[in-house]
Amino acid sequence: MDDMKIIEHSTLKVPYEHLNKLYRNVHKTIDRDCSSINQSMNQIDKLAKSADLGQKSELLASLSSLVEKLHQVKKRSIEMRNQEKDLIEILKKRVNNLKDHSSSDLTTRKLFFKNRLDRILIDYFLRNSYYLSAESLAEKAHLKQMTNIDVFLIEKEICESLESRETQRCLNWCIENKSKLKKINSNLEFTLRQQEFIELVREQKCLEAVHHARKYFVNLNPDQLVDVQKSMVLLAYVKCSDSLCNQELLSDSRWTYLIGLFKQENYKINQIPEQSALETILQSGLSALKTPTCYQKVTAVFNHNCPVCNPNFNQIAKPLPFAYCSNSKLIDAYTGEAINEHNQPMMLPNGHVYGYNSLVKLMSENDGKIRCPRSKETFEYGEVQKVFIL
Amino acid sequence: MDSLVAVEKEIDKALDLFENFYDGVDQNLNKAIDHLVSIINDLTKIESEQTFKLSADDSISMCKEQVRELIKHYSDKHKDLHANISKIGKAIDKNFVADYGNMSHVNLIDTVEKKMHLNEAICEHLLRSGHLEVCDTLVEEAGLVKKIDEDKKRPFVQMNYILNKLKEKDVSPALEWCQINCKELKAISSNLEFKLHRLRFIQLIQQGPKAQLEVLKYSRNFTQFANDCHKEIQRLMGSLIYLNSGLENSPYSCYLGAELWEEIEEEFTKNACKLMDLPVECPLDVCINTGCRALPALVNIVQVMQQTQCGHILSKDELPIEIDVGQNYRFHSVFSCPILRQQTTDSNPPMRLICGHVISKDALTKLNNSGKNRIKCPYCPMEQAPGEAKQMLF
Repeated sequence: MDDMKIIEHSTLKVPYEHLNKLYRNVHKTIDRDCSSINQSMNQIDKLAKSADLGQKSELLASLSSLVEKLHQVKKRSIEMRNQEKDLIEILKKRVNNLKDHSSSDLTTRKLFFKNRLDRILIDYFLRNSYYLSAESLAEKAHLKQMTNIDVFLIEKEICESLESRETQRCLNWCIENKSKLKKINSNLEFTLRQQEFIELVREQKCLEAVHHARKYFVNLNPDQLVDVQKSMVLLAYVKCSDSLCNQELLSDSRWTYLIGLFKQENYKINQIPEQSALETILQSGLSALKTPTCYQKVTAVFNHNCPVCNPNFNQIAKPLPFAYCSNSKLIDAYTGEAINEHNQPMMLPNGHVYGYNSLVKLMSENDGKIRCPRSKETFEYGEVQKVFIL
Repeated sequence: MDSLVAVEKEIDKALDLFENFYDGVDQNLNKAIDHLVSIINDLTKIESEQTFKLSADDSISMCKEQVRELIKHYSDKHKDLHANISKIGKAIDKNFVADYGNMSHVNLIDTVEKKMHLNEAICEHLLRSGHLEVCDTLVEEAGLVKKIDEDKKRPFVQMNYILNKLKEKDVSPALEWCQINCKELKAISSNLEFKLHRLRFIQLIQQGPKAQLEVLKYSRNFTQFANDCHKEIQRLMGSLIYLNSGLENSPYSCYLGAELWEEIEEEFTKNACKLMDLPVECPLDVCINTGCRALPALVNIVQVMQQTQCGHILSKDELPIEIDVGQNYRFHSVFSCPILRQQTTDSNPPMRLICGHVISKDALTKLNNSGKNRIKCPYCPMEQAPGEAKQMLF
């Protein structure tokens, strides 16, 4: 298993889902066209069987209209052919792009990793509604084809309409994706209808609300029934603005909940993972780099280069587990070199440990005496004791 | 790699089949249209009642058959294509891991503050990679205007400008920078300025004999480095012999390699970061690289742990397996007590026994549990009093 298999699943699955959706629509169109041609043909057949010279012009007219129909079907089939072909080509292009991951040329690989990070950032921007940043980065890095911006732009439109308290767009989306939403047992459509009911009651249009309920609150499962019962109570308290039940159902947070639910379902049916790639990879990376030293559990020299010590990541990595270390891995506090059998550890009388190479360096800088870089005390080489790390 | 090959195979197959299908449909439609047009033409010409009836009946029944065939082919064959499309989906599912293998457990960025921290880190990355406009857009969209101001951006903007010029093989901005920061560079014993002069010198030599005077004049720049780099200066002056015939076929052809330019970019970045007290590599880059490296092993473990219901690895204190991050990404010393297999901390520091072996304080206390004030090193026959062990600081 390599990291590409784990990270790039949605890169390929999302265009595949688009292809599937397009295929289904195309098939519907084909079925429609075929049945219409069939109808025309049957009509002509009937006419022909009972035809005489008088009906010649009628027969000829129907034949011409059939020819016209066939031309249109041909035009449509060329369109659909191009659409289906384009989507498959997009899939193929992405696969080709991913091949650079295992390229034998170092420059290509480096470029691939750089592009991968940019793609991960674009995905993070889109999920957090930073649409302009995402588009800007996609353009600068020439990555538009490898990202799923179009899915998120549709999401943006619907989220904006939900934010302005409008449910129609979202309902249209639900109807469009009815079968897929059913497969995942989605509650979205019901919740939307419930919100519409609540809005009607809020505007005190109680009769309309009752009609609405009669129309849409049908075929409910037990959980939905409980929700409906709660909403119905709203009708009773409609004049009473500060009762407990009203506060919960009339609050704005329900709209926020709706937006969150819509996003969730949108990700599910498009095969986009719920957590962003950035967060997942950061979790693993920060955890693998996290040492007790980063959290002041061990006194040590501050290392600029450690990302976990960086003030931004330090906060983020707090709840994550520490890295597991079975064998000691030591680095020299003065030069940052590795301490191992080629650079053996030596302890000064004050307890500080440095690698042998550092001691040589320190002696050359200070007339053969060793000045501890941390405590500033000076020692002779003879005072140094060897240390054995297993 | 073979996972991509498998998916590509299915995609190519689908492409072929689609091509064939639509070609067939096109052909059938054309044939039907032509046939119908010819029927219309024929029938238009007929005047007699008898012939009309017969003709009409005949030709239309033939046509009916053809159109039926066409419709059937159109609909049925398209339906068959679905099998190939779903094969692509199955190949993707088989060869790739969905949902990051359930790695995502903790909601890492759950507060507004943490989001701001992450966005700041991303801005730093964007500044370092030269995407200044994207950084500005992000600052606006994410509301970071106070945190990322001109002061923070300036060093990166300058660095990127110099790096871009170096990419175009123009060393003058870099040299200017070196001269301004001459003292600090000396303090970190950097020979960046010399290397830049060297590259310019080689550029001039490549211009051939007409640049002879200029080359000699330029070599005066080496005087300040005479003490530290005299060997290299000797080599460079030696290469002047090949001014006429060019360096390509000389023993000095190594000076023409692209590695020198790549090396100088890295060297400049390192020095600039050191001077500005910044990490050499962008922290976000380091985290992502390590994360990608660690993911396969961690996903494997998560799968195993799910079966034994031990809870998720990210909810524990320590990761269950060791991840090799590579020597470059080891930033702190970690001492693991060989006896108790625990990492040492300030409250449980490493102690050096008289014989030179090191164990943690807790291990020392455990060895002394008999209270005799005499302990034997677990690794050699040396005995000592527990108080004689000395605390170490890595």
